[in-house]
This record gives sequence, C-alpha cells and structure tokens, in this order.
Amino acid sequence: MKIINWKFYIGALMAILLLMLFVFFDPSHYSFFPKCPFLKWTGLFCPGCGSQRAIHDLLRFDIASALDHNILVVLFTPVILLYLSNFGFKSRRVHDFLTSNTLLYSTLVLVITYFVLRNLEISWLEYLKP
Amino acid sequence: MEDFDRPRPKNYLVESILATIFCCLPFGVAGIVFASRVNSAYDRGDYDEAEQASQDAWKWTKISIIIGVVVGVLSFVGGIVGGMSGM
Repeated sequence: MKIINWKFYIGALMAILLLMLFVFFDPSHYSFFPKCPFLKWTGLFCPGCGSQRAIHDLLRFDIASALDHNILVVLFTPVILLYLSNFGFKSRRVHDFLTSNTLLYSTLVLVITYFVLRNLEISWLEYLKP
Repeated sequence: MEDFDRPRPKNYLVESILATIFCCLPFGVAGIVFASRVNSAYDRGDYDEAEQASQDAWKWTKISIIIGVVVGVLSFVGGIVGGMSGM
C-alpha cells in the first residue's frame, strides 16, 4: 500500500508541474512543446490535434478557444475529472459509467467522426480545425 | 456453472481514451476496441477471454502512452536544442 501511495504522489507532482507549464506557456508561441509527427508525415489533423493549446486555454478558463483548438479535450475533461476523483471516492456507479459500453461506443464514434470531419475542406467545418 | 463472484476485469477505457487523444491515435483506438471486448466477453460469461482482452487493452494503451511520452521528450529536447542553435 505504501508503494502505491509513493508512486501516486510522484505522479501527482509531475502532473501538477506539467499543468503549470501549460498555464504559463502558450504552446502556439513556444517551440519546446512536442510537435505531432503524425501531422508532419501525413498532413492530416488527428483527433488529438490542438490538444496542447486546448489544455492551455482550459487552464485559463477560455472555453471558446479550447473548443476551437480541440473539442474532444473539452468534452472529455469531465470524464477525466470523474476518473481521477473516483480514485478517492470509489463510487460503484461512477465506475460502472466509466467502463460502460455507452461511454465506449460513443467515444469511438465521436473520435472517428471528428477525425474525418476536421480534415474535410468544407468552409462551415472550418471551426473543427485546430 | 457460472461464477457470479468473479468481478469484471478492468477494461482500461478511460486510459485508452486519454491515450487516443493525447498520445498515439491508432494504438489508443486498439485499446478502446479491446475494452469493448472485455465488456462483451464478460457479459457472455466468458471470463477467460475477458481477462485476455483486459490484458490486451492495457498492452495497447501502454504502447500508445510510451510512444506519446517518447515523442514528447524527443521533441522537447529537439525544441531546446533548436532554440539554442537559433540564438
């Protein structure tokens, strides 16, 4: 049990440091943030494209910009928070939701649809691009 | 004979979603697909297959996370080096 706690605290510390990096530095302006090799090689926006900028926006409570950069990050933030909080609360209902077929298949459909739509050259879908 | 006491193996769904969005799309999606197999095999009562799918789900999610971290660290280092040589 002690070992789990030790790992948990190290992980939490690293996550907080990483998040602080994303609060204070805008990924659009600094070159030390990872660039996506998928975009470089294929020229396509994957469903995760813009997620670093979206995290930066979210941490500054700029929901509109976050949605513009990556809708999935905004959409799944509540899921991630539920997941993290359930390490403490261990609610059976939350656990069932987080492992449910509902969440599973809606995620698959959402991710794949988003992937296709944001790569189409259609003017009214411009917003989906990162 | 059904064993009702056997809990459903972890399907690593949230971990796979995170890996899909933030790390490496194809392997993350593989994780989600195996997560669905955990659920369906378990509901069928096929506990061994559910267990196997659970291990596969975690394997692909892990691969996706590792690729994400390696690419992240490499481009972090590349960005620092590139920034310094540009000075």
